[in-house]
Amino acid sequence: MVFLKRQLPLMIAFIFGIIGIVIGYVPHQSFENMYTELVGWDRLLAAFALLLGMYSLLRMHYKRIERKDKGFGFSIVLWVGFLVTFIIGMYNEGNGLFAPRTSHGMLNWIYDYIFKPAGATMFSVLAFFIASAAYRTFRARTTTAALLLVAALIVMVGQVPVGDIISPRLPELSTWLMEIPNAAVKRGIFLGVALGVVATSLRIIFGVERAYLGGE
Amino acid sequence: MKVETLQKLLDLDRRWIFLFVLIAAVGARVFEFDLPSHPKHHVIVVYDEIERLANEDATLLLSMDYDPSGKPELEPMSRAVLRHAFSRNVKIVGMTHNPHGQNLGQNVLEEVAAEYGKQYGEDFVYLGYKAGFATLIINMGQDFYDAFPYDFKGVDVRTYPVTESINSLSDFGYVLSIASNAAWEMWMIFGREKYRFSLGTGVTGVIAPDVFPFLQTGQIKGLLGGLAGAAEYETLINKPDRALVGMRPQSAVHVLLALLVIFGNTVFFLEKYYRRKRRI
Repeated sequence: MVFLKRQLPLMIAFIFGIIGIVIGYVPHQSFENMYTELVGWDRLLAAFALLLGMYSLLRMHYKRIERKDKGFGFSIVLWVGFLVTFIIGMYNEGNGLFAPRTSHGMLNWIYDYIFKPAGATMFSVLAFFIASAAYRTFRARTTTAALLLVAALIVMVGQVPVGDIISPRLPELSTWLMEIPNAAVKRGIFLGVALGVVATSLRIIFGVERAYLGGE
Repeated sequence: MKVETLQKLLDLDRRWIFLFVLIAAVGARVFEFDLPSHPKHHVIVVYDEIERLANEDATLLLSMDYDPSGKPELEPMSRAVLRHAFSRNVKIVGMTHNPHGQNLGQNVLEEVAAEYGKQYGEDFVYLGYKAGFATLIINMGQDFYDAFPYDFKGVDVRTYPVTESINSLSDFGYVLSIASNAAWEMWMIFGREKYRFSLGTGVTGVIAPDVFPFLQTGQIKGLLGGLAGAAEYETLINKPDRALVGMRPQSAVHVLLALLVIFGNTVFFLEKYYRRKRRI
């Protein structure tokens, strides 16, 4: 069992990790074919990941209901929502599981009149919380914070048409902030992240990093 | 001024702030007023790319990678770009990387196509959603039909005139990813860099700053940033719609936010000043 739980996953990660690196550097048709094959596998795994994600989510909420944790009512809503949507989706307006999804029907009704407004509401509520948080926390306590605050105010007002009414210079200044200092900093962050990804990938390939195997 | 009063203002109940935001947003939506909209350079680039497609009789791949939470900001973008493309008889292939966005893409595509009397299969096709994200993009570059043998209706993609000349991503004249997630980045890393097509993006206002380094390097050709980007595009195509209307509440709330921050800081320094004075 240790072999299946530890050694085999480490071997798979090592072999496919090395293949993945080599493919990027060898411009030969056989490697290109291998790449095509692996891409197909990866897509299949991605589809399974969706199933796995669904299973984990449902299991977690089932446990919450079972233990009657605080707010377990929301878990019931999740389960009911899932079951109703799943059954209607499988029914597919009487066409069954393997027919293409119908353009109009109950599933679309759920999407248009429940999912869409709920999603849009979640996003719009953010505006209220951001306003409250900005008022409370955005303070020029230090020189750096003051600089950040001034830049944020310029971008905030300069990015909307009203900035143009206040002063035509404001949108120009906002664009400059985005294109020069922002881009420079972002580039630095992206390079740092990329190097971090390379380091972490190598740690996984060589079995130094094993957290993905799960703890015991 | 009493320190206690200032402290009360600093600890203002957040429900007051919520009320101010509500009044600003609803007020600006109800009372009509005109705001100037001057398209930025990177918005004009997207417009020029669509014009280029029209002149070269090339196809646009519009990847609508957003879900309902991103819809208010991103759908006006899709609508404006689709209006421009259909008005110039550009062929369009639509798709999404977001499993929750399949209907959004389909609806907006069908609505705008109906406005311009465009026919499904002849002028546009909608592929829908498929799992894979980065690997789906690679697969589309390797063999378009292998990645999408069927459209969202389950019909063989090879039977449509609009996709008959497409074998790989490099056969598209322009790929535009309108995204509320990292899809634009995936298109760039796994698509554009390998298959060398022209790629543009439309993203939410929060994501837009991330795109600027890639505009400078030319890896991204054209950016529509947030609702403001959509409004600027509506101005360019001379079809004012939801984005331009939406700029009124957005401008009002942005100004309110700026005023709140300035007010909060003024009170903060006054409170510090009076507190110090009291100690002396």
